[in-house]
Amino acid sequence: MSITSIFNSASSSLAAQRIALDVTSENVANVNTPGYSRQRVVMQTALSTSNNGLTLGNGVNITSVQRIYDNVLNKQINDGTSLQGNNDSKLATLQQIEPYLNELSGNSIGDAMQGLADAWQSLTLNPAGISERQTVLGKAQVLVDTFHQVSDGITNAQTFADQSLTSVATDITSTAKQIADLNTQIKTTEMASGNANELRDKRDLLLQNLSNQVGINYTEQTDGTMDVTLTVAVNGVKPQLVSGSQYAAVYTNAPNATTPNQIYISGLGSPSPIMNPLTDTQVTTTIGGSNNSQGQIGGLLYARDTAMPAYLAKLDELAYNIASQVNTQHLKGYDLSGVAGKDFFSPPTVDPLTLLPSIAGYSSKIGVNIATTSEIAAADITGGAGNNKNALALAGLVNTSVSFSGGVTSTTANFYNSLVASVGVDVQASKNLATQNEAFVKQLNGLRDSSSGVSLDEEMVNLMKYQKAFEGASKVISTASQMLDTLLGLIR
Amino acid sequence: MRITDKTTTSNAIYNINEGRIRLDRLNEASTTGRVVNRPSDDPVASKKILDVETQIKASKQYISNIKTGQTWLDMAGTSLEGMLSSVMSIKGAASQAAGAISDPVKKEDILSQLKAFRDQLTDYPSSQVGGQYVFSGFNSDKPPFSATTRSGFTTTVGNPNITNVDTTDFYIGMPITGPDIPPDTVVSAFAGVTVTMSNNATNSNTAGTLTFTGKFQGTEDILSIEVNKGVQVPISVSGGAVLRGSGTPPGVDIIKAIDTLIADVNSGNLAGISAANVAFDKANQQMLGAISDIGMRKARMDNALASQQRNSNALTEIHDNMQNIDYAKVAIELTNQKTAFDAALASTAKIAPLSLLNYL
Repeated sequence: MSITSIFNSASSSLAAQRIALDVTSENVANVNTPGYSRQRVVMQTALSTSNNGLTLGNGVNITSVQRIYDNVLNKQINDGTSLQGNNDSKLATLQQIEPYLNELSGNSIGDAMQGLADAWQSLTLNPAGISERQTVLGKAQVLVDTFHQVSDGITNAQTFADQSLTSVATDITSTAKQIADLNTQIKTTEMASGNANELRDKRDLLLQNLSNQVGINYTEQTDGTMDVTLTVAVNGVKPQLVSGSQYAAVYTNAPNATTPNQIYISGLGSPSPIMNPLTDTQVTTTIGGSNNSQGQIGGLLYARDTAMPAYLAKLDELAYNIASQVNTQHLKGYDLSGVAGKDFFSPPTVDPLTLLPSIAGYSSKIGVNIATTSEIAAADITGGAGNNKNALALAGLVNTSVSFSGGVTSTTANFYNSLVASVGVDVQASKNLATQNEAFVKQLNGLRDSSSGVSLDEEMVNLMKYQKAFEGASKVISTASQMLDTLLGLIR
Repeated sequence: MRITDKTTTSNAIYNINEGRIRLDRLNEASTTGRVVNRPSDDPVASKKILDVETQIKASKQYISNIKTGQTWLDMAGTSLEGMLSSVMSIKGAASQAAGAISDPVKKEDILSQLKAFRDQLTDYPSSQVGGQYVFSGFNSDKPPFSATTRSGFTTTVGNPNITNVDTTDFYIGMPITGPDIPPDTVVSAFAGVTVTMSNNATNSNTAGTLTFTGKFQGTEDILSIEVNKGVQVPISVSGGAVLRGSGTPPGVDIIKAIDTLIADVNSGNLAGISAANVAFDKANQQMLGAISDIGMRKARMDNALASQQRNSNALTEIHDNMQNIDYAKVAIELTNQKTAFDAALASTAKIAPLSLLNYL
């Protein structure tokens, strides 16, 4: 055992403590960095040597800088984030249409329907009255306008969802590209035995962002790269989004201006190959996961293709039933000039092939077919300005049940109230899910912070610990130096 | 469990936000006064509230219908009371007529009374509600008993006959007026297109015109209105049925009876005058019947109104119970939440700055 070996082990300690302080400083610096996992140094005693039958240590070695990280927890966070993204985008679209049907604090179709019924009732009291007839026409116009407004509101929400798909698809491609780039960097760094902890943190954060946008599966390869695929297979194969340094482009393409966007995924490449909708895989029905339940893109597709069309269909059916109910009765009557009544509301166009009325989209087209007040057929027989029998029948229609699709028979007002309630149920369910998801992801993030997050108090203690150790090692060197000086003094 | 700085801050942010959401909800409730502000607040209650609101609105419209209906019935009732008093006065005059025909002065007096009552009788049904004639049936835009004109016939001076005249609605004793017809002329006889007048024509004319009153211009239809779901109450009265006996079953033609009475008094037909007594007894019954019919309908209306108002009140109460907030409850909850929120803010403010750094 020589004095030099004291120098050696002390200097190994100096180096180790400096690295540990370095890591501590990195932790402190990144206390607020999203996705950062705290790191710690793993110290080990250096290999001991035997001297004169004594086993003596050779100082300390830093074997690795570890990232405190829980893979399973991260996977759960990604799944939770995927659900959260899905539900948030559903809720955003649903909340856009709720105000249009909010009969509770404003007036919508229900109020307009009642307004027209009241106008018919008033007409029964004075069937020839110009102001009563004007009121019927005015209230009918209000009802028609309200139908158009609500229909436009739902269609706009649908268009909003459709247009949002383009930006989400662009985001997905951009995130996939960043993951592929990080794959390359991690692979290169780790091949050179480097430490890629920060790069891995970045990649984890990107995976979490990607999960928010679209449902994904991912597996780490032996070379440290991460492969990412979509969750639902197309033709038996799950489309690949990232593989090693290559990535695929997800993009939207509408064949023409009037059709909604279709979603495609290109093949892999770096950069991704030129988009070609003719040869690329179409993933419109699969990218959102099963029942469009994953990621923002799933939420948007659900709103565009399932929720909004269902509301529109109900609205169209309501408009059609109101119009045909009133028209049928109005045709039976006679107007002020004794002419047989015509259609009160403009009837839907008839499909030339099936010869059935085309109900789809009727709520946006319904109009008042009567131009002048005298054309309102209040009488049941020709002649007699005071004949109110047809007006009475028209006023009574609000209490008459009509058949709706799905075997439902109810009055139009009741059907509408159920429609309002069903929108309420959907929004409420979505809100509840959003709250649950938020709490769930918050809980998981809390767990992640608990193990991977930086605690400043802890780092301060570490800072002191390593600083003191550094001071100790320095003292050993200064003592050894004095010893060496003493020895050298003997020679003089 | 290891608590890091981020755990503390993200918990604080989450919980403060939750507190704000709760405060915002309570604030919305107390400012709007409503429990359910949008369908998603409570979809089941929303449906119930909307259903009740629909019923309340319908009830309001029924109440408005009933009030208009009551005006019609009041108007009809007042007119019928007037007509009844005229009929009773005619009956009184008829009973005096037998003794008065021998005295020309008394006779003239009775005759002028009867003519005045006849005019009154056809004037009473001209009552209107909002421009509509109550006694005109579906022809509610026309008065029920306006003057009728016939034209294009031939008269010869000094001859009581008119030829080429449409005699529909004519009866013996019906008073007629016109340019070539002397005053106080009545129809003495008619057959086909020829009418014999009680006086000779004053002029020869090939395009004569004559006017008579008392023809019912309305229809026998009764205007009904809805006072409850599917329940209709008639609100008009047919002037024809009341004064001309043209209803179903047929009644007394009161106008014709007066004209006949006037003719009988004029001609001194005692048998006719005593028959008129019987006819006006029946006429009296006819008017009383019409009045009691109006009374019954008024009672139905009153009943319908009371029931609608009761219904509307009950529904409004149900609605308010579901939809109006309990201010006391909200105020207490608000105070609780405010205290909790204050505590959350205070403890966050105290905990957040704590760090070992402060002591190094």
